Amino acid sequence: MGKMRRRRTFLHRAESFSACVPVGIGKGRGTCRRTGKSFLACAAAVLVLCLACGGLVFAGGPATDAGEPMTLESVGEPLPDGADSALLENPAGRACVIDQAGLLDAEDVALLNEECERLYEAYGVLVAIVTVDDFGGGDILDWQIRVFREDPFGMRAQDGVMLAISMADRDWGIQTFGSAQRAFNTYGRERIGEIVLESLSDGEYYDALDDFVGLCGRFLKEAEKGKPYSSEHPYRKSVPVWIIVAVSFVASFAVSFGIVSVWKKGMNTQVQRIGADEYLKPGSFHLTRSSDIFLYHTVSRSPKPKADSSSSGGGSSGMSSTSSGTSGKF
Amino acid sequence: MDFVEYKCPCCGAALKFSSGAQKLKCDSCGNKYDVEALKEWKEADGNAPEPELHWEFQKEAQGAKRTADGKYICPSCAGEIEVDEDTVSTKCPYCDNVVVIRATASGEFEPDAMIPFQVEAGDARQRLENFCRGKRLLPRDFKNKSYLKNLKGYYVPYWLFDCDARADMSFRATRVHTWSDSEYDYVDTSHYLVHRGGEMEFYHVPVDGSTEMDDRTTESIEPFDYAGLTDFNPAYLAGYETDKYDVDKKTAEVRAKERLYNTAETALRNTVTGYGSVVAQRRQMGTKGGRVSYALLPVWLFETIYDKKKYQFAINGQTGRMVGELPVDKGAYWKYLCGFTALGTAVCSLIGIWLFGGVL
Repeated sequence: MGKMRRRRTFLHRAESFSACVPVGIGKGRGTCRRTGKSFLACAAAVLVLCLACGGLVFAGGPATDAGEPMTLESVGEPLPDGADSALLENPAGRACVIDQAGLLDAEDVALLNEECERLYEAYGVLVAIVTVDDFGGGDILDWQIRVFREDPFGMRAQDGVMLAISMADRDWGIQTFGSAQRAFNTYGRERIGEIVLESLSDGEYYDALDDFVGLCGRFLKEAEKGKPYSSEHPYRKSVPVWIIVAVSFVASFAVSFGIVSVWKKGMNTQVQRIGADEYLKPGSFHLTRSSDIFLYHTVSRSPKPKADSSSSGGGSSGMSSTSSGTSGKF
Repeated sequence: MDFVEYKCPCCGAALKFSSGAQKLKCDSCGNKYDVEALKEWKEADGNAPEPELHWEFQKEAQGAKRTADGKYICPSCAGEIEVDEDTVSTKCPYCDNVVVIRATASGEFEPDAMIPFQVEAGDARQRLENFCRGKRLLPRDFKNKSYLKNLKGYYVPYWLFDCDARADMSFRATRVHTWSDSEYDYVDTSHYLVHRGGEMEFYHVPVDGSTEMDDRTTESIEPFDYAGLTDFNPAYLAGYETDKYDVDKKTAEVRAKERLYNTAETALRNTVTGYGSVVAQRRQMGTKGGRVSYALLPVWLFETIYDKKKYQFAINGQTGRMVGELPVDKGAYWKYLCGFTALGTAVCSLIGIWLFGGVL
């Protein structure tokens, strides 16, 4: 588990120099990148770096937000009177990840913190994670707004995205603040929630949070390029490299085998003739009889595949979205 | 009294005549059939063997038999003809038919026709070089280390088959129609019995008459341009090797029949259109005026020795078409296979990572 966690977090680092290679969100497979032994990864990273540079040159500078950035005060509904604001203690002073529910060990928290700090430096957006035993009831999105205002993270950020997990009623929520709402629009929050929920529901908390941070990086990068993910520009879940390489190998081998087989066949031009077409006198063929007789017909039927009846709304692991937050149960 | 039993083409169950529908009905699958259609079906489904084709040997047809007192019998009117010993052919004084005398006189191995060589021996090396051009799997030192051996011009004995053919074939054909409703996808397959008959004329279908020559080689250098056919003249044989045939025409007929049937089937099948699948069910063919003639056709043969192994080549002595088998450099084969695979994998992987992402 320890190795896996290190590897996954290192993957986010790879994103820092990769404009085109998405940060992985799938289950970790492959070799440990921290050891730095994989030549393929290095070669791919170098090549991808070239593509990234080219991409940035052609993409131009960071795009500005299309809409008016929302300030902290303008986010969310007004706080209900007498609402109990949970106090989040953060002994570390400055940290993006506050794990009061104790879902992660110290090493996990450190790795996630490190990646969140990097994203904050790169994009100026706070990617925050908060886990608590019980947030006190009510709407978790409102609670998140209060937490963000209190700024237990010590970052004094105006723009941010926060994933909150409350274990009492298995609530989760993604709330966005300020200009981050552009990168994490309704589509984005739901898409991230959908992916994070897979691990969250299975109790794989580190994987879920690691996925969240990785996805935030991708969404921020895309927004910076002026093309935030949306229903018109959907985020596609990454395919693991080993699958891409394996498929590429099989396809390349098949095509290569076809090419050299044709060449090899061309080395022997002795081919027995099938017919005597060359010796059929031109114009000598004419039909003397032609009849098409219907005999019978058979009808077979097969049931149509049933559409997936599962719904993302409601139930034990659904979600709902407001203008700047998405929440649900896991 | 004989009873005729018809079986359902669809399921094989016995059919009963339905007096109401005036059709034969299958109680098993529910299909109904016209009586005439069933009759056609039964004929086509009879698994009748493909009939033999009938040929007349040209010499036997035209040549004249010799009587005991040295006269010849006209094959057309049976009149007795008196000729000199050196006479090759003459006209029958009774019926004006041209009677070939020399065929009988000189033996059955004398050809009817031949095509003289038109490609020079000196062209063989150049043609081999042209043949090797662009062959990436050829060993690099093949041109330098190989050497021509046993270059010989060879008049190959061929049987040439001519006929007016009548073909009658049946095909099983299907048309598929699909549709869907809210719950099911439906596939309606209509089955047809398709008959096609046609006439066609074949001219000089060649069949190798020598066991020394591989049939694949002799068929690969086809076709010959029959405009260059001339009467047999021994003068053309000077400087070339010639063998008499050792595959008799009866044996050669088997291959001729196979080729004629295949071409007839292709010609008729091309007229069966509008179906999703077409499968030949019955093939019948007859010939009218089938003739077999014996001809010598020119072929250059040579070998090259490379790496202590022989490679044989043949060149059509009339058209220059060259066939043969070249050695394959296994190292080059694997080099290209692995190289293309590695290059393709790298390029496809990068494109795949770019398009579909991945976990580095």
